[in-house]
Amino acid sequence: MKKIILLFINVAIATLAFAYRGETIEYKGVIYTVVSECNLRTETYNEGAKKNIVECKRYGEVYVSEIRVSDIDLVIDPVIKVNTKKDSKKPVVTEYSVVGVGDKAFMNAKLTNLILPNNMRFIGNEAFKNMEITEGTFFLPKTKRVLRDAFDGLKARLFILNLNDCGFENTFQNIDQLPEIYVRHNHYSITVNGLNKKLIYSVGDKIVQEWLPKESLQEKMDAEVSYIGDKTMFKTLGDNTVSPAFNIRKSKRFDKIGSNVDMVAPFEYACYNPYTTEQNVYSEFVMNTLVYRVKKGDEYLYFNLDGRPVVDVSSILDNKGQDPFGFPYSIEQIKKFKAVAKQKKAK
Amino acid sequence: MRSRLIAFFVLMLLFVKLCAQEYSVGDIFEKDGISYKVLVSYLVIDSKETPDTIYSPNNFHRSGELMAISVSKTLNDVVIPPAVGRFKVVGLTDSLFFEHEHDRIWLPDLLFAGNGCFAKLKLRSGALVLHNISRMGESAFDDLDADLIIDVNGGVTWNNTFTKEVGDKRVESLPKGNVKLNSRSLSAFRKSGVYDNSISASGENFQKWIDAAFNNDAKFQQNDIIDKNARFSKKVYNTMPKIKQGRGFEITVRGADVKKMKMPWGNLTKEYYREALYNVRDIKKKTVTVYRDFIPEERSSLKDGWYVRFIGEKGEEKYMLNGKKLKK
Repeated sequence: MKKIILLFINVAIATLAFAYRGETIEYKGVIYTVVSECNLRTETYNEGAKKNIVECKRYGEVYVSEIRVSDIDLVIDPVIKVNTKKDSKKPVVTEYSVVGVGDKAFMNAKLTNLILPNNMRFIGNEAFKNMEITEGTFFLPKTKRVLRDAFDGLKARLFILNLNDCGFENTFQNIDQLPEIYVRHNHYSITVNGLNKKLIYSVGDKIVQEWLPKESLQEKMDAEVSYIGDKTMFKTLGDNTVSPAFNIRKSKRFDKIGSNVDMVAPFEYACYNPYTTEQNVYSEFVMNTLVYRVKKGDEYLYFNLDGRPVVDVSSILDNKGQDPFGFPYSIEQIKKFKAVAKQKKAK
Repeated sequence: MRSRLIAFFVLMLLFVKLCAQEYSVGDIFEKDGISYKVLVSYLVIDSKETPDTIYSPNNFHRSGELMAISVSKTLNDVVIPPAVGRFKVVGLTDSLFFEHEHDRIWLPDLLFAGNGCFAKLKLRSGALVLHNISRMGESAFDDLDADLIIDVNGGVTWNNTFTKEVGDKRVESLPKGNVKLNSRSLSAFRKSGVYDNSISASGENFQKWIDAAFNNDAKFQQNDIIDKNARFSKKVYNTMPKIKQGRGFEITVRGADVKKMKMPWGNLTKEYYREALYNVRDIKKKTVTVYRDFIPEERSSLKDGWYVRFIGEKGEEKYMLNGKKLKK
């Protein structure tokens, strides 16, 4: 009975497919690489419907790895909302935070203006090498790590907007190839590792105003990337229930694949399951109104929302052999599931 | 014929005066297309001539300070030297370069430049370079048709330099070009109206601006080397030889603003002058007295002796070289 009530209260959560670390997405002429992705259970009261709406929001992190546009004002928004399941009738929208710019992402690009969001985690090696900004100024927002030779050959003046919030790692080593680097007068006294004061110019506010792009773009310059933080704890059946509690956090140990994705750690899910009384850490999590799926090692595990393990996985597969989240199983694997379930029942 | 003769004698007199470099306060003379007015004169010694002991009053020379009061408009390159002979160039008069047009201008470190000094000046090299100029007049760079490169080390008094009066309002008065500062000058201009309108650089980047302003002519930038003033115009000297330490006077001479004139702005060419001050330290008594004038006198009664005469607030005082007061 409780299950049925839950089914009525909860609005059906879209069937979810998972984008994997290193996959690419094209959005408005920019290629983004997925760093990590997670699902968050959110529950909000809808006054119109007079009931709780439960959603499983998809959240992810991407970085810019390439662009396919030129001669435009390009604004990289801090968040992009992408339908990651275009073939489905019902769109599956994932909110991705743009956490960085990959190696050579804007190399040889020609744009009238380029606006990046504040608070990115990294800018990769040679990211803006030989890029041309025809309006004359490229504004670097606050970025945690700016890597090797990022601005070599940049055909525009480089204006560092927040010098005290940037970290440079061999960024300005090729002095002959650097553009003119500017900061505000009141930032000149700030000492930053990796940036020789003798290389930089400082300018007064009135001059900065002259260099700023048109007003519609200026508004975009304040945008800031936000990262999931406090609201990353949830229970599969809601906050006041006895159900598995998940905590999404950054993984400290992860397989490095030797590319820009390694700049940012993937998510992992720490889960306490009150039914099994076990504490586990999973690399993936996805749920719908009946079950949730987690990944441990290379294996997918299925649980009911109250934490009971799904004994017969084959029972939740559709006639194509796909799980509720779109993962396909072979006939042999399905037979194996049935056999395991039979053994468990016999026990 | 008579007028020609007079002109000849006047020229000769000027020539002799120039060679002798014994100008008096208020004298005006011209050299290399630039006219100067003597603001102050005082006695100095030549450290090479008298490395240890001053033997007689003949060892003293007239030195002093000059103000440039006019510059020929026909000059392509204007070089204001740091000194003419023993006389140091310390300032530029009001509107000195007003509506002038030159290729390049070289200026030494100066104490002051007058109101509108560089207003409406056009520089064909594209930039005006200023080194240390402590005090700058009002609207000094109004409509300067060039970039302005400022290279000052310390604090400056440039109160109304970048403003001008229009009707009963004070409005911005800036060069047409960019204002470029040496980064170390930034703090000096923080409260000035030019701060928000300026670009600063240091090291090589700043030097590149200066090089471009002088058409990348390294020789033109070496004008400061011709300053011989410091070498043979020693302003600190002792009346007794060094081996007889503990006696006599140590005299330090300097030019100073005349208090009643306050700032040197306004009517610089006609009225402005500075006064000489001699700080006289009695080495034995360890006291310092400031005098307006110092006259070394030969003693007729002794073979190799001379004595000193100081004129101060209390009138004239005479001393022997060892510091003992002479009766009148």
